[in-house]
Amino acid sequence: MAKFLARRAFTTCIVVILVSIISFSIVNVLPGDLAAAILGEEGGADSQRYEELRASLGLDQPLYIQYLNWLTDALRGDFGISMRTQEDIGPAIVSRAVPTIQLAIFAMALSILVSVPVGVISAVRQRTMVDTGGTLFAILGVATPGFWLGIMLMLVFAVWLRWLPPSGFVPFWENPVEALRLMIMPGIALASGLTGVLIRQVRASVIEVLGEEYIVAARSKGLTERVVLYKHAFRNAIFPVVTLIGLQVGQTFGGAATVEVVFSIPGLGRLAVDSIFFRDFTMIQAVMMFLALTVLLTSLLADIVYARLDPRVRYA
Amino acid sequence: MSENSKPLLLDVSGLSISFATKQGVVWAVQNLSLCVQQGETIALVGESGSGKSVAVRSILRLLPKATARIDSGRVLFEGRDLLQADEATMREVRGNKIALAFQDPMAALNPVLTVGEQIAEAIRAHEELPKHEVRERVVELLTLVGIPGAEDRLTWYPHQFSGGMRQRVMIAIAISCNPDVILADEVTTALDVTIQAQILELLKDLASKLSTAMVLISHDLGVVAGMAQRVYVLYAGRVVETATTDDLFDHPSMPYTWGLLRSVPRLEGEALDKLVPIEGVPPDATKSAKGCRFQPRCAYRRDICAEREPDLLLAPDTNEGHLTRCWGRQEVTEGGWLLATDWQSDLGDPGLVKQIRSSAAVGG
Repeated sequence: MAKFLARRAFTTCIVVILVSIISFSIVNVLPGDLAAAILGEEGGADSQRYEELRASLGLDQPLYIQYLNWLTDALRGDFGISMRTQEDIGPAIVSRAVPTIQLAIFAMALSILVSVPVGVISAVRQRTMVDTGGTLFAILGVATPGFWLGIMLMLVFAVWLRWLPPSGFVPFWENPVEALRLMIMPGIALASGLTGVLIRQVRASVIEVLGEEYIVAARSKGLTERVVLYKHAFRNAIFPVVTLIGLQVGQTFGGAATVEVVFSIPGLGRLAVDSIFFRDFTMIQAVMMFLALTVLLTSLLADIVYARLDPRVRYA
Repeated sequence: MSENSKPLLLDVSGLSISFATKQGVVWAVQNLSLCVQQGETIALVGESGSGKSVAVRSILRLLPKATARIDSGRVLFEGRDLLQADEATMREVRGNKIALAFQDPMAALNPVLTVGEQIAEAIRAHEELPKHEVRERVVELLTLVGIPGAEDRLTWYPHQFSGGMRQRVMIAIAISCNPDVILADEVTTALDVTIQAQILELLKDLASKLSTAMVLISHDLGVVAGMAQRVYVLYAGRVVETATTDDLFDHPSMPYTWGLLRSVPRLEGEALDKLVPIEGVPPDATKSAKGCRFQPRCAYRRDICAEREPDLLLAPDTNEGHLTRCWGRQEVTEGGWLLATDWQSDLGDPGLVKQIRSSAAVGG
């Protein structure tokens, strides 16, 4: 296990470095530089101020020095200052990440809670009306854009029925009830695609496992069908699902951007969208790094969970 | 068929099973009858696809519900027809009264559960015991099947054992509830020859120690010889010959059995004896033919063989309970031409052999 973790940690580090180079390069391949962007059109004409600013930002140094400076600052948690809002990027990202992480966790939990039972039932009742219904539900989930679903939900439950508040955000630990009420609609909007994909995967892998010889062997011991299904089949069927969930975390964070815009949630996705519109390079760079790290860490986590579940990996 | 007065334990009669497949209906087992007495070992022998596994799995009703259909028959066990029993009764029988041991232990053991747990759950399914007693039983069972250091290996997973050891675990599961009958489905096929011998010895030993009856499935007459008291030879889902083991080896009574015996290497006898293969391929189980099922591969066939299927009848000049399904060996009109044939010297019509070989080559 230690060896396995060390190997995974090593590859994770390499990917992080690659991502940092890419996100750093974005700023430098675009025309104009940071100093010109900060000074704006009029200030850019003043070449003395421009040179001074370049020097103070370290932009007159060779690229690799700039990169190393940026990296060492970033490692200390200092990502510089936003060109758009002039706030410190580190704390800004942390505060904007809270709503996104909360929303993503809620959406993924919702997704798993719905897709696992639907997938398992579809698999057990293969080729019945129930299965067809599950498949239809899954395909609808995949085919419906999250932002559209969000707007429709808002129309029905906030505008017409007035059951839920239309938009806004409250951290879970401040007011759990209100936080949940606010997250139901964006959560469903964000979860729909993932749920569809997961239902299909759960169904497929349960069907595959149910055809295995050890399932017949389990039945031949006189175990109840429930024990056969949950203890023998489900534990084996879950592996591809865990991997898929790990891979879908990035998708979910990406999908959060549009949902956050629709529901006015001050999250990372909206921050990224706003920063892109305002050419706030330093912020885009940091957001990219943060998202990449999140995806990497969750896929590492998925691998660890996988290894915990599967004894064949654990001892390998 | 009563050779002695031991009570009948399992009585299968007229069992027919079919499968719905994309290629059409497969007639896997046709009108199969067999019985097992207490403590007796019987063997089902036949090529792959002859319906052996399907037949024993149907006894425990473990065939896939979506595709398999039991068309007719009875499986009498303890005065009950298992084919009509409800799910709860079947669960009570499975593992507890009738246990199944599998061909490939790697596939039949759950990869994510420890072997200790996989044995323990079989015990717990039928007996309410305190935790430490279950554990003791598991250790006892593992020791009984010859796994050294059983105490430490409870927490091992199947992939940590060798093939032979895994098969021992499989057998430990099968005997865990002290069943009346063990259905051993090709339990040695996946093992190499030396391990095969060990596992067979173990099974034989356990069967006599626990006085368990056994239904041994094999495609290998050599495996059967030292184990079973009675043999059923299956071809294309039908019993084509049945006799006590000694009787079958001494007086095999129909061409398919002759073919099987000729293809088994023998230690006694002349070393120069060549193994003679059975020419041709087994029939397509989706097609029903009116004659004898073996007739297309039979080098002794006559016209009647393709017209009507022979019944399973007493073979003349043999012991009681020796039944055979062959026109050539039955004293009926148009039949009986093989009654005087010496199977070891007469290999049938060489012209027919050639014909069968070439038609198989074209068909395949």
